Amino acid sequence: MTSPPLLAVDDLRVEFPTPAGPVEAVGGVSFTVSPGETVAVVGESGSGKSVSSLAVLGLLGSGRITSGSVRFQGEELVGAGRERLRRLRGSEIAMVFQNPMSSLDPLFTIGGQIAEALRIHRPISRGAARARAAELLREVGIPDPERRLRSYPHELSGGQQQRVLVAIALACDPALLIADEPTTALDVTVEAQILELMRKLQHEHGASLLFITHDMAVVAQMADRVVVMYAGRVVEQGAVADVLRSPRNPYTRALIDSIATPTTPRDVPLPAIAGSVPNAADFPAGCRFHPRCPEVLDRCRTSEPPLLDIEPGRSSRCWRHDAGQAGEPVAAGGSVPGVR
Amino acid sequence: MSGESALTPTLFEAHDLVKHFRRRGGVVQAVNGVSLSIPRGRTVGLVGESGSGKSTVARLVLRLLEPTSGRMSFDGADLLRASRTELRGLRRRMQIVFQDPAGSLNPRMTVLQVVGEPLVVHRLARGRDLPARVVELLERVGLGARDLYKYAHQFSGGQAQRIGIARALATDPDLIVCDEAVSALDVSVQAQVLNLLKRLQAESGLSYLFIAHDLNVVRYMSDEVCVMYLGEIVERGDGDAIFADPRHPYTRMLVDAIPELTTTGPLRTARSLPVGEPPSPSAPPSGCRFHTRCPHVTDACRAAVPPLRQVSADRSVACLLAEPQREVAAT
Repeated sequence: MTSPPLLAVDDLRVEFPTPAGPVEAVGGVSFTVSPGETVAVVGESGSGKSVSSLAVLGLLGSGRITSGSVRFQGEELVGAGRERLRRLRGSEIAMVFQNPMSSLDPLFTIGGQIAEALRIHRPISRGAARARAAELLREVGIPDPERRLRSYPHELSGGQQQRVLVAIALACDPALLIADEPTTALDVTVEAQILELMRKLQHEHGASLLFITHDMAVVAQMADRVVVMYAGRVVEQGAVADVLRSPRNPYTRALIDSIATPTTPRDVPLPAIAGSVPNAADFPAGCRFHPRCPEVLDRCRTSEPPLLDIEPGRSSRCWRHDAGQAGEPVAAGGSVPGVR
Repeated sequence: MSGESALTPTLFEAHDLVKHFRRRGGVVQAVNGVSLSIPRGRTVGLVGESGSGKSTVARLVLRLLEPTSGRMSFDGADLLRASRTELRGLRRRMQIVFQDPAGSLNPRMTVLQVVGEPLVVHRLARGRDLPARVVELLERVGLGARDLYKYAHQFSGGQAQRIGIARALATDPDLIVCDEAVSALDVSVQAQVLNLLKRLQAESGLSYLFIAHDLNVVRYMSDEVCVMYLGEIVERGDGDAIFADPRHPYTRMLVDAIPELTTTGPLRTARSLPVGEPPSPSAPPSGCRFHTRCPHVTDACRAAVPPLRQVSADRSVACLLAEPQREVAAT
């Protein structure tokens, strides 16, 4: 990966106002997406994974970027005008969200909504837009597309609605597709189909994919690289195969260990993580994972470890790297990396 | 495991449960002939996608809904013919834990009130006794006296679910129905709650009807797994065996669809891709309800409804094409 990144997020900080004062939801997040690459940002509630991706698009609502940089094809998007961001969204950068029903307008036909997406960004005739819309529906696997163009969103199943949103996202051949939990609301047999569809289309169109999810198994199926977030921070990143097979950060490791798989023995307790996910309003001092960490050191309680490059293309935020211990089997954790 | 459970006395039994809802423009066949048997101290898991009828089964079991037809018994008593007084006594012994922990707790009630309410309703504790009993219950789920006067919003999702479990435990039930009890929780918190449920079962011999859409979680929790599709059980058996060798084409599709957290083999496994989406339960297909999505469909499947047949010692399958005894030959 020597080509310059398509998207480079650098030390991004995002704040939201609350009655108790501003709260920092994303604190210094950096990652890149190269052309043609799929990067997954994975995390639990409050990790800042969705906020990070919405910040790229300038869709923060009441939130604001307090510092950092978002470069897309070399262009700085932090501080870019509304009009510029609007032109980018839907043409160069497209999005697919979790709940398809709330992303589609119930009052307009499917055909009308796809055609609108096409005509906003390109000067083409109504007839040409309609023909292209039918083509897109066929491409995303919707049977009888000419008839479906006249359907309203409620006449489609959840899976078909999500296919339509993928079609709208692809309408202008974007360089980057951002998908925020695109299959979380779907049944598992439908999820498998939508994931396969996104993979196939991404391959054919050569777009980059930034995939936001809470599901490690979906990461394993979709991504080349993964960025693991916890409490507004990146805690580990690297190639998916490396991170899933031998997680180096105690949070990543504990999270993967706690997930029930088809072969988890039923007669022993799951290796659970104690405590609960913290809120942005009261992130712990020191390392934000320290109150729940099975491998906590004294210094973790008072000072926060930096995100350290531990091998080429791999970084992790843990004081144990400093001590040369992280990633080695640790008695307290009870988990052995690479063996599951 | 199955031989053992055959010897365990049955706590709850449902026979041929049917629930049809009349709706404008037709009838929704939510549950269509479901039979269940939950042994004492055991967990029966129910897994299925949206529209499979699994949550309707939960409500039927607790008689929160009246079945259209069928029979149910609890500890030998006929649940559907029980008098009001009898039913009140039986209800005390059957409880439910819901999906959305915060949403199922009254936001204006303190933990003492939320957990104490069933104790008061069933006249199990009052006066000075009440807080002491509630603290006992809270301690069983990993909370304590310091939480007595807090409100639901002061807790995280996992803690709120613990309160829901403490409330369910208040009447010292024999059966708890868990309806998507961990689905809304953060991944890192799910394991805690699953471990808690298993520990409580080991401590007091509870039975669970464990309902979820996540097959991995259902397998981990259950002694027996029932797979539902459009209101019917299509396969039942030991969870490990079902995963290793699904015999119903729908179960196969479901198992293949689960994204795998593979860390030992190649990351992307080429598996057969599911086709189609579940049809609406208001217009279920003729014959075998799965025939519209089944890769092995024959003419016979479109015409005849396959009965749930036992194909090996601890496996039943509702498929015309399932051959009996294959499992025995394989092992």
